[in-house]
Amino acid sequence: MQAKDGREFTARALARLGALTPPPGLERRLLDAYAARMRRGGVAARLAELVWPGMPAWAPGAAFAMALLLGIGAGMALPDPAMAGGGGFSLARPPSFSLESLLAEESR
Amino acid sequence: MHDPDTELVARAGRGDRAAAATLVARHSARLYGLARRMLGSEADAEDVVQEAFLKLWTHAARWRPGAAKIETWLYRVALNACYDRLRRKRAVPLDEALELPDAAPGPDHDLDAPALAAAVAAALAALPERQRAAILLCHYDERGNGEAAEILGLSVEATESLLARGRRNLRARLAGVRGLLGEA
Repeated sequence: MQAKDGREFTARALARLGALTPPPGLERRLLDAYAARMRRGGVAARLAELVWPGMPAWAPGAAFAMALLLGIGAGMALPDPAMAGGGGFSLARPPSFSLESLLAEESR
Repeated sequence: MHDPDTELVARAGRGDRAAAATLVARHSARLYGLARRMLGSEADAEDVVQEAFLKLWTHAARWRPGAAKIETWLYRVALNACYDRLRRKRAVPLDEALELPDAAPGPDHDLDAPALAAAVAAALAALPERQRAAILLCHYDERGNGEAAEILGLSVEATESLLARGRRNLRARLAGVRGLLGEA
């Protein structure tokens, strides 16, 4: 009963407070802040949104960087298939010919 | 639970100004009213609303529909910004910190409507901040206890207890004008 009275009294008291009107220009200022925010996001953010919608801009960038590092790492660690067959030229192995043999061939 | 603002926020995050304008038109006035009643200052209330919307614009592109409605989230951000400002002003005497009319109405019961409104505003402003927030959410903004609890970050029971203390406090502070507020 007392709680109900308190509720009703508070409702009556607060009904005395009128609605407050926001200052003119508040909505425009909020939208200006929105436009500024969107400009700051800029092209990179829009591109990121296209690549990976809904994720922050750093996420597609980080994924790309990770893929690049993996690619370079794999390229350095794995043997070149062309080398594996023995048909190619490598600085790591001595050449299979010498200047003398070439000169001998020439003189023939 | 369908939140009518989710789609608008997603569109605003993709740069749709019309969606942002709809969100502003839908929420800014009520947020301003709450902040103004919490802080008593037009300029501070405006700053709080700007802060809340700026956070919304920042998160708009990666907003994921979750447990909280966007409106609830906006209110919570605004209310936290109000608490921060009130904390910073605590060193300043209350009468200077809040731009208030004279508070305590005398026992003469002879106030006109604007003076009575000013007395109610002053009594409200003198409540502890969380009691004031609970009272404003439930009685000024006419939200249910559940939604108010979510905004306040409390359980429904804790919110009800806060409300009860706030109502008791407000009633005591308005003892001089109870008759004018329809109470014998």
